[in-house]
Amino acid sequence: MSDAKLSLRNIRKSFGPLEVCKNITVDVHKGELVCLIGGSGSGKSTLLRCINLLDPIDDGEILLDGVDISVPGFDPDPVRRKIGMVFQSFNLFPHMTVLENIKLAPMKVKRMASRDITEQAEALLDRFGLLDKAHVYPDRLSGGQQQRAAIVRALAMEPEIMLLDEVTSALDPELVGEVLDVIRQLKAQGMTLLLATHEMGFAREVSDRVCFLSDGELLEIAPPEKMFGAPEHARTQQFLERVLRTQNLS
Amino acid sequence: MDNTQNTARGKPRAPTRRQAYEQKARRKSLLIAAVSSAAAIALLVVLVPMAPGWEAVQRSFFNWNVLVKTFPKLLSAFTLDLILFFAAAPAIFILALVIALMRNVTRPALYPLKLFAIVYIDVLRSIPVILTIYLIGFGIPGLGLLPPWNSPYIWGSVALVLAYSAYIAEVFRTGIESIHESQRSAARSLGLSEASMMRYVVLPQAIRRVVPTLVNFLVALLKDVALLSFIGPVEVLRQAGVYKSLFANFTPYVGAAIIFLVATIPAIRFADYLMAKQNAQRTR
Repeated sequence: MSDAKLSLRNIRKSFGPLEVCKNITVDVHKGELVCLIGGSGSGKSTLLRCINLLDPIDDGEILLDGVDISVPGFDPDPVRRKIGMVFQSFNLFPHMTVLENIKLAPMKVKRMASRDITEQAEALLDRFGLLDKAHVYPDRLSGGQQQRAAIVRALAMEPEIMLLDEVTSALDPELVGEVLDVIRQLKAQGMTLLLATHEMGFAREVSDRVCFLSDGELLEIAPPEKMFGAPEHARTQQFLERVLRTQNLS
Repeated sequence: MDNTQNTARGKPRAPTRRQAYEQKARRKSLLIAAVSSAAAIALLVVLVPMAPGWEAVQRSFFNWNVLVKTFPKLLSAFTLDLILFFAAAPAIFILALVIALMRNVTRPALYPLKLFAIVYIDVLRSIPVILTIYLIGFGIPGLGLLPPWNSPYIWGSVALVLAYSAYIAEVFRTGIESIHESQRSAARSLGLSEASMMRYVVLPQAIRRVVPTLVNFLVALLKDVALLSFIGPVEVLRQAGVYKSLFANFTPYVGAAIIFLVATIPAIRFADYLMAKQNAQRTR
């Protein structure tokens, strides 16, 4: 338990009367890829936002390398440097080129010299096939390119964990593959990843463990073979049957 | 059949049915617009001179000789309007931005700043601009300040800056609030501080978004510089008033109006153009 990179203990979070996270406990180990699956409104996104301290949790603990980062009043900025986050709708800054998007945080947060970070950013862009887009504004890119750029932007801060919130949900089907490839690469390089996803086939292929959330409850944690082969919980079975039926059709 | 053969040989393609129809409709609407405009203008030209007082109005408002005699001086008086405008505009921009940021402060220790901004905006937006100009333009020099600090040029401009910065602070605030929460989430998730987020992510987008509104306010400002004539500076409206008394004729006012028209219409069209461009971008 204690060697976990990220440890969520009894997380509770409500928006008004609506409980979106009910007593969630899960550990993520270094280099592990954990997928969160579940219907919309099941609390996946909220959980990720809470880990990045974008939304405060009501109760419980979030431990990063054994340090409780969810203490009220804890300075969130150093934590966010260690935890990168990528959003469903990319959220690139539209008034900056791809390269400027990537350079902003390292320059302003880590105080890196422009030249150093440019070199590093270009290496990253090259690795993810975006080098020719460095000086292009986001609105000239396809959704897949924008999302890859957003991932590179998060990577440029050299995070220890990446949180990916349904990063393929806003993409046209033919663009999903290129973003999933990037995630495979990240896993191969040993990044610790926690991702909320609707791509069941992908979750089955790359996950070390899969968490099923339903109505804010973490109902089941299992290795992918078990989760997709023989899920324990009746609600998990129901959910997977429904989702897999539609996804197999497409 | 003919159509496809034409294109195959590289000859100009004959218009499709739809194109022909639209061309015809366009021609028809152009014709209607031209005819109805011409009719309206003709009516004005015929009807207005039939009014009983037309002769007198023509003499006192559209006197060519008076216009020729006074116009050059009016034009040179207008340079004072321009100077006051170009002095006030940047000051308004900066002050309005500062007030808008103060209005957005969330830290409890800085609450007095927020309170000040709220009161500032409320008070200055509620008082007619001309009243602010009177109160500050006459009130502050009345404190017995020494030259040049008792100049109505200075305090009149200050009054304009105060009044306009209250309006424009609200414009900036709307712009800041229009930036989607997801941009802030992205900035915060990268570890940017509140100040960096505002400076590098939110403000550049917010200001861009309100540029058309700002241009409209600049047009209004250029015209409102003329309000300073009420407290002393001999700018174009005051100069026209002087000539009106001198020649016992209103034509100098028409001259002043012409100058304002020529100066502001391009700016108004420019604002329209910017707004159309933004709308096009948003719907893309």
